[in-house]
Amino acid sequence: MLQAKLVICVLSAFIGTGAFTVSKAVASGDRASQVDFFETKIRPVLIEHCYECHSAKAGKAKGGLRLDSKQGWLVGGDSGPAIIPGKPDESHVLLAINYSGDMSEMPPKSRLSSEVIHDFTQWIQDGAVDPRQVEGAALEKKAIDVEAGKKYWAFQPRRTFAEEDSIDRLARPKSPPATADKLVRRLFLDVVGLPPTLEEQSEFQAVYSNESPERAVEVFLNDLFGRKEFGEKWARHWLDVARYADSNGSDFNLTYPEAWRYRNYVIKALNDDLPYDQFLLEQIAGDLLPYDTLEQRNQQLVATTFLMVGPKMLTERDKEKMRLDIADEQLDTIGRATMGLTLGCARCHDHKFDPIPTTDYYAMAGIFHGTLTTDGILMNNVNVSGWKETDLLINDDETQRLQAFRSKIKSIEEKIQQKQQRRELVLGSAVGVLVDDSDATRKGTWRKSTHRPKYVGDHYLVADNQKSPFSIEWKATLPNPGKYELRVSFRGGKGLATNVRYTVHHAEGEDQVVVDQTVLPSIDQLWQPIGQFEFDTKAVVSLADTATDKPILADAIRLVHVEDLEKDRPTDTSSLDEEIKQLEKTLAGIKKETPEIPRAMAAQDNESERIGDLHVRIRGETKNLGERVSRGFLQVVNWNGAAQFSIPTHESGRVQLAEWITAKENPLTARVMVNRIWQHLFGRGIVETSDNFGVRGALPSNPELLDFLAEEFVEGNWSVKSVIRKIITSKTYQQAVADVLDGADEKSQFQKQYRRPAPAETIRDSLLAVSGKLDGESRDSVVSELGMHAIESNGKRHVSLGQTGKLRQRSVYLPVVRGAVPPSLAVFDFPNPDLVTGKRAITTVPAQALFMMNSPFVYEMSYALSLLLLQNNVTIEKSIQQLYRRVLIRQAGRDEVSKGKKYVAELMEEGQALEQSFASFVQVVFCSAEFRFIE
Amino acid sequence: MSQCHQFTTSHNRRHWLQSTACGFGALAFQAFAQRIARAAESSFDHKPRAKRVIFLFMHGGVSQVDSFDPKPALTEYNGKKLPFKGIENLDVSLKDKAGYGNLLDTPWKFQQYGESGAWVSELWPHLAKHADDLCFIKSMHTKGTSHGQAVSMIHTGNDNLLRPSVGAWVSYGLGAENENLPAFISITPPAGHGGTRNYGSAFLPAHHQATALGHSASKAEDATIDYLQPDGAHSVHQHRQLEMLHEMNKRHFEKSQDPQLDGVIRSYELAARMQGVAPELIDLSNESERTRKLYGMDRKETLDFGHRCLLARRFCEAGVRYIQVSTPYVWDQHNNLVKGHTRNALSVDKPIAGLLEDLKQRGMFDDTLVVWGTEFGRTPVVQGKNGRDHNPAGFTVWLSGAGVEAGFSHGSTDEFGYFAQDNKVHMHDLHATILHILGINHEKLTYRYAGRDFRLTDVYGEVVSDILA
Repeated sequence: MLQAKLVICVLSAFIGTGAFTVSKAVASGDRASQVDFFETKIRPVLIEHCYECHSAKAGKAKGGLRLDSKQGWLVGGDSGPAIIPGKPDESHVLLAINYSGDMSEMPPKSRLSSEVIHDFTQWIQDGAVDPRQVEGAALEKKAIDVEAGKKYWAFQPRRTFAEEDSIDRLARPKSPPATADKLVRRLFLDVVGLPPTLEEQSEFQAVYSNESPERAVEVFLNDLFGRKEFGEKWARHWLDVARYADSNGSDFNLTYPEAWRYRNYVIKALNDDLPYDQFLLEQIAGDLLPYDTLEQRNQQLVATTFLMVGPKMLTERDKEKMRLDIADEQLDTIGRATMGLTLGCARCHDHKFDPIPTTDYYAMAGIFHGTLTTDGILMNNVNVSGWKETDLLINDDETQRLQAFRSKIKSIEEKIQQKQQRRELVLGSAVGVLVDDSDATRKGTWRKSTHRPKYVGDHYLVADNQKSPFSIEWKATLPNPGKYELRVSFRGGKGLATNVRYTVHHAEGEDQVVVDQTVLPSIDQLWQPIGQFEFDTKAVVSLADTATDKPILADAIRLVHVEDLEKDRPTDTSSLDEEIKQLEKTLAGIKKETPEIPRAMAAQDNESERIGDLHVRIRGETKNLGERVSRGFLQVVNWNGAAQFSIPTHESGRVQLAEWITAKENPLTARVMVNRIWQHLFGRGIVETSDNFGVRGALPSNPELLDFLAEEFVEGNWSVKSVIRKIITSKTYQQAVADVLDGADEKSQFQKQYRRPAPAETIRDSLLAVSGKLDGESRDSVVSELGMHAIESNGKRHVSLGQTGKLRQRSVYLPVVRGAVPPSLAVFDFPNPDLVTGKRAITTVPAQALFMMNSPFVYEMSYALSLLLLQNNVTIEKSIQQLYRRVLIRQAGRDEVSKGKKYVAELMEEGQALEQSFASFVQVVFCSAEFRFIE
Repeated sequence: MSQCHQFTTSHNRRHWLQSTACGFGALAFQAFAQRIARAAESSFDHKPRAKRVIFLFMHGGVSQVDSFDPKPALTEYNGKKLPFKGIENLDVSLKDKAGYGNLLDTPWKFQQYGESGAWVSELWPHLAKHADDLCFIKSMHTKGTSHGQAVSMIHTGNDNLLRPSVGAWVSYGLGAENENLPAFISITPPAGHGGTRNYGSAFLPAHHQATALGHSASKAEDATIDYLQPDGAHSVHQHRQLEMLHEMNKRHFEKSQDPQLDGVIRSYELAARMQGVAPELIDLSNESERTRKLYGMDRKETLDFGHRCLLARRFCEAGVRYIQVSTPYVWDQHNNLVKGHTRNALSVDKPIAGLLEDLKQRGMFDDTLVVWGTEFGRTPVVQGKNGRDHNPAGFTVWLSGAGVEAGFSHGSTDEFGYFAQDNKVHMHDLHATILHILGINHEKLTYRYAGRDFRLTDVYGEVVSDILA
């Protein structure tokens, strides 16, 4: 609080009210006079300036503080007691009205006069006598009742189930199975995000009718689970939740060149059916886990990119605030993604709805504060933070080979450095006093250059724009007065000025010497003596405007006492120069051969001194410190044995956090994940708010079903594929969609299936697939051509960002540059990658219609499919039938064929070619609602 | 274009309107509209003073002491040290070498204008003629010393997290006035410093986000809405396509009665209507020479921003609620203040004055609120040789038109123009005031997301009632 004291003194001095010194003498005395002082000096000010926001009458207690009674300020607000009688310099009210910078400035609109501040100081000093009693509701700090909070359903343990329980038993489906066409389409779009081919359709149909719908689904599901397209479809669901992007967005939209590794990690994890608990563990603490192979280590490192792909305010100049902001972003993401809890809400105050006190928040934020994800600076700007990257070594041989290269590089670099030092020594060892251009005073436009083979120091200067005045002045301090030879350095040559005028200020006055820089200097081809002069101990040499349009060089000057001229040793560095040149050449060669080591955007624990517990930040303000809280987890999520997950002091605690989240007993984690899976297969979660299982979230519409799935998930070793299989092989999933809403209850309890819009990726990938244009290959980086800035601050962007419509890979491999999401995805509710999005918005807006009607992408797909269907000169009827089969996965009705035929014929009558006319019809089918929905 | 225009205005449009009026569409739409109305209703607790807003955004940070907030003390103490503590975390070199920097006098002359006697510098000669129409707030302050933070702050009320932009809140609160157009249009929005998040809807429903015309680095004449029109060859048969599509979708809908399918039908109708209306709005060819001149479109320097402002007026007329016009990211004069501010002010001064004049002539000045703002001001101390650093602690914005006291100045900065001092107005307060003028109570316009009721002003903001007319 010493600081606060200082502020007050400084302020009083600045305001110039010298009269005000803090002392008891002025207004002490009996209580009556103190009350009088309060009534005349203090109460009116409180009423006029404070009550508006801090009184029962106004119904406001901003910052939790009321100032309309003594008890109000004694209890205080979020920052604790507002006034400490007798201690003005520790009283928040005084700090606030002083605008000291340590507290919010109050009153917010304008500062009180210095007299008033003086009165308050004195009043507090004298004991802050305040006769006012509590008005309105009594003042009590409301504390969160964690024990009561535990009773909420989401924090309760899961139910247990009988052997015979099943999805169908719990959901009680009401409709018959979907037709083969509908079912095969639903199955393919849901599992791999691509429509079935004609052959697959008929195979499915065969099993469906010869055996049973269930059997057909089972057979194909096995097949689909074996395809890499499964991971490519389901990875996107997790990437939504992981707010994945290939660039930072935010203030500087920098490219994340290595983020793609994480995207591919997620795809692989799903295809390999990596147990979900392990999947989370690796993403939260992969860098800290043991490993058997380097490959495993790398995979685990890449997984932690999860912590880092969020948007960051890299230019935040208050770096502690930045670290807290980043920890907040990470914590909030993990809370929502894994447990459906909005932890971020507890940063500034206790969670308003969920039983999460601020202390719990900081207990967990401490874990991420101790984690290193930002590192170094970017763009050579101390205000711009960079992020952590780590080498990914593939095997021991490679490690050794790389180390060999690195040590070679290091030794050559050291050699070069030594030679350069020698060279400088040689140059510097020459007798006399040397002043280089970097120590000279210059004006006007000089350009640094190293173009010529010889110069002193790092560079020399060139003036080649003589439009504006320029000059340079070297000042030398000499050891003794006397006669000195003045030498100037420049590597002469063709094209330079012939009339460079040096002015020499010496003991006897001033002389001008004109030098022709086209001639090579006489000493070492670098130094030109320009005369001998008498100096005191100061020599000033200058070079100024010269009437020439040729470049002028300026480098160093040297003054050699005439008596030392004979002692002068040669300063020839040419052999050294040659050696350096050779070494640099070798170095470049080795660098070229060095294997490029892949790097990952990966987290690591901070150095031990930065690991530790955090102070609560009152109201979330970086500098407003509250109590220090031990790192730990949520009190409300508790079970027998939860206490074992305690964090050792020297570790960040991420391992323990991940183990706590993925403990079998954690009531939230499994429920949240199975609910997400369910949502992707029914268009709606059992808990509709899939990212919020808190008090403000929805209740589970079928709690038994939710718990049943969660229990199966945990007992089935957290296998995601098993949960998907259980759901898809149920009658509940396979039933036909109901056409009319017959009641909200049935919908939410999943007694029926309902039509739902296909996600953006499914629409785009299907268009590509049916048109024969899909490039099914996997991709690595898709942002490598973007350079450092994905989008420059002035809006300039690489041309490729405007041409994503030309890319043919699956949607999961499209670049996700924040602020430039490909339109083909963005218009169909692709989520904003700044946010954790478990449940995408569902909109039907004109932008989608415009895209389908007018985008080159849809034109092109329509035309491609038109050509494909018309080849081999089949009839139009046949082509239309094929079109319906391929695109809508059903037979075309007879009237649909005839209408289509008429449509094409009419366009052709108007003079359109057959392919165009048919493409126009294909586009209509693409635009249809039927294509955009899953039934 | 002519083809699709014909299509939407003649036979087919009528046909569609009929079909939807009789079908489920109308019912669904009514239900939808009622739902929105209920959501926002409780936030209308007073009479609106404006129907719409034009927000002119000067990206980079306009210097207040060189524009509207003259400080004689700067002249007197030019080159002297700032006698008090400046803002933390500004230019490091500046702080290390010279405390909190040396004061730099304004290179421009100030003069008083109009009956109100408002001070305006010679950077703004055309705007000066409108001095009596302007309402200055000279005590603005905001959050964020870097552009990313402050740009996000002025657009969304948050310096760090993704939040809906002001325009999206207005769209959510008021809906569209013209059902053929979106409620929120952003003309050449900033592509850097957050880019789309500055005009996005964040967690509000997606249709509240701005429809963008180009971005700030694009030329105004090239700025258009994505995929607004079919390309040449396709425009010929698009009307047929739409008819065919309508038939298909209607059949599908009739079989199932699923409102989602009706939604698709409506979206195609709306798109076609937009396709009919918007290209005409963007096309300035029928504007008179006189009007173009009014906006400075006859001069190279003012052509581009004049174009942007004229587009704004046209969208205004067409019933768009919230129109933002942005300059490129050009105002950030860390050095070469004179050159930069001269060029930038020249390019926007005449167009903005023209816009005000035009709104008056067309009788829209009384129900349109014009807000001129910048993410932060600049320091009165010098940076480098001849520049000024960012200053979120004190700067000027002005409002004009509906609902605000004309020829008025509110609040002030200290004697050097560094810190807002009297009647301080935070960015949250400005946002609260804008909503208030539109008839919305900023504390009541909320949206539930992730279990919390969010609002534009978070837990802050107070209407600056002193400036209300």
